[in-house]
Amino acid sequence: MTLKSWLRVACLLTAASAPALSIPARAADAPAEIKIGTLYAGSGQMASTSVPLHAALEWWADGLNKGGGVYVKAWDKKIPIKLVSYDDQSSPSLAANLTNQLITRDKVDILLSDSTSVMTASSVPVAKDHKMLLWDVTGSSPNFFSPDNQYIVLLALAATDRYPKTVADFVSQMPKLGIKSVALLYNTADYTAFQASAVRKAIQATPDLKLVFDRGVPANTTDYTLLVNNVDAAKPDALFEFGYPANEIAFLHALQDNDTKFKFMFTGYGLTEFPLMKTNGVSDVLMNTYALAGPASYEFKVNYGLNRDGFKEAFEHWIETKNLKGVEFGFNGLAGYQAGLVIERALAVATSLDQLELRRAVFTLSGTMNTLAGPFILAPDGSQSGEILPLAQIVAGAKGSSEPGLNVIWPADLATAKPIYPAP
Amino acid sequence: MLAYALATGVIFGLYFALVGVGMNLVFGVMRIVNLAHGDFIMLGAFGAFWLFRGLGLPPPVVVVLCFATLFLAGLPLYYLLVPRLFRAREPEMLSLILFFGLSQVIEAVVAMLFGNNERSIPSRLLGGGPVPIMGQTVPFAWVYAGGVSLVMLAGVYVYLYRTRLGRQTRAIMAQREEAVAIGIDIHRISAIAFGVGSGLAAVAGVFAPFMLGSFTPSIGVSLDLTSFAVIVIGSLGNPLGTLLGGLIFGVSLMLMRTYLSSFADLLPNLVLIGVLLVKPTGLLGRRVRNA
Repeated sequence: MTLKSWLRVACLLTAASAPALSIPARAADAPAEIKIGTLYAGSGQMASTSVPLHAALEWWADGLNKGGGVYVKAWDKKIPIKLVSYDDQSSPSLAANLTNQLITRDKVDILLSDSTSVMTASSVPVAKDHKMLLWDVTGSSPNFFSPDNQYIVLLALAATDRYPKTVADFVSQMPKLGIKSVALLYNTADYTAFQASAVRKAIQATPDLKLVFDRGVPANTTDYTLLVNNVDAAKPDALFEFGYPANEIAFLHALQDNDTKFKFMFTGYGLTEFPLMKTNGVSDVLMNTYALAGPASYEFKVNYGLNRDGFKEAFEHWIETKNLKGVEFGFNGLAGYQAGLVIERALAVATSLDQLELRRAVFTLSGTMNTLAGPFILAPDGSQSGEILPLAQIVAGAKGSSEPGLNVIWPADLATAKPIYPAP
Repeated sequence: MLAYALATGVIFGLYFALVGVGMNLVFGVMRIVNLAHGDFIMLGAFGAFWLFRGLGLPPPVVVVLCFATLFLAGLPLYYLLVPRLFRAREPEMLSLILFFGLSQVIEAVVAMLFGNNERSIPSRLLGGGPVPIMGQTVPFAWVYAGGVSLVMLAGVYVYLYRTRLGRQTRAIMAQREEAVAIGIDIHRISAIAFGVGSGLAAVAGVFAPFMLGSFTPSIGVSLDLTSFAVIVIGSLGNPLGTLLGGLIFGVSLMLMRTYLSSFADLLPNLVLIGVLLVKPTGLLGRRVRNA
């Protein structure tokens, strides 16, 4: 063999062995941990939605870490998760600073927003400026999504202008029940105001319906007695009310205290956090009222992760084990788990931790992943188009069950019963 | 709707006067701003929650227990914090920082112990059903809270104007140095005033779940803002001016909720700015100076 031949063989061997050599080299380069940065509201107005969500994230990360971590395709190995969490105290300005801190100082690989649109709003521009993908858990305001912002994906809730689609569709059927006048009472925060807006449009588009009361209230309104009296004075056949948990508790108390009943009443959050309503002694007021049957009360078919009952059992066990005060199973805990599911599936697809590659990976899940939150479908701007919920009437639960019964009344193809109007 | 808003505004006004009177008493006597006042109210709400819902005690007992507990807690707290403040060069400014810190500590401890979820108490626990007013109804709890507020405010009046202790308190409020000169035990009187202020906050807290719908460990800051607005309208340092401030605030709030509900949140800030621009001494400011 000549020297030239030896060199040729050496080159061929080197080229052939390169992939084999590169995998261990890349595995060796793998980070010691995947840093997931997140904010939560440990106090203030948003605490009751944020704390359960964060607790579920911790449970999810703990579960994966017990098995060696999350599988990351980029290094073809499991890597432990490190959750870097800061308490934004329900302050949007503090949330903006802490988001910046997570990106620039902690250099997190994955950036999660706090719950709710109110808190997420602060993180959206910061993440965009730093070209960091914001894994938006429940910040569903349509204002966050635009074709020129590639750095956001919505995980656990349909965008608010699509979220009440079933309700808006049902509005056109209301005159058939004998409903002629409708009242609208809503929290002016993005999440609830957009829902109210969608329903208002549907009411105005229905010729036989008249909007007789239409009022917004500040986000921190916790006394509804006067408002309930004013709604009652307008004598509507139906009332749509949209609020956060604190609003709902106060609203339902006001109804209870005044013996006020509406013939048709829809609440935006009453069913979503039913255990919290029960703790506050207002769950009875929800009987025969209407709500979107969210994933905490409605079983979606899943092809990835635990189903609703499995998660409920595991999460409640975690709450008990960790002695977490004021945390209960409900939509927000479920949303935290949903965020975890999307992250672990995306990391199993992404070929690097580059932020746009992560976004691409999340989009590969769109239309293929069905979790306990419903079908995961992303619109091109990163907003959630799936996870649309059916409209249900809340009825007494099965004997011995702590959960309410649900009669799905719309859409027609999912309906299990006809609406009982007027409510008994 | 207008008559109803006015009537409920008066009820809420009495309650807001109770919310603010403790803070104003402390400011009047000690010239310090107790930013933990809202947290004392929150503690009263938690006390009511456990005593009503947990032990099922009758309302008057809960009121007395909560007042007594915070009154007794206020005495050592005064001796621990306030005399040191007086030795500082700018006690008023330092009190803002010190009591803000105390407020944060109280909130954090309560949140750690009991969680952050909203808590509420069904109005029916106070007895009675809806009370008809102006063709509509209000919860009996509102009427009860308004009545108790009136009684407590009357108690403050009697304490300040019909007792020896009250006369000494007013002497300190009017001219601290002269009060010292004539032999009044400043710290003893101030400690009692601090205790009474804390106790009044606790009583306001007992009714907070009924008047405010629900409560969390974080409600202190917004209650401080409300208290501040109420006492600035009436007059800083004049506890009885708080009644006028409370009534104006309550009626304005209910009118806002009726006709401009989306902007009801702005009210405390608007009122504060308005009064500070037009009559910085508060509506009863002149009377205080002449007292």
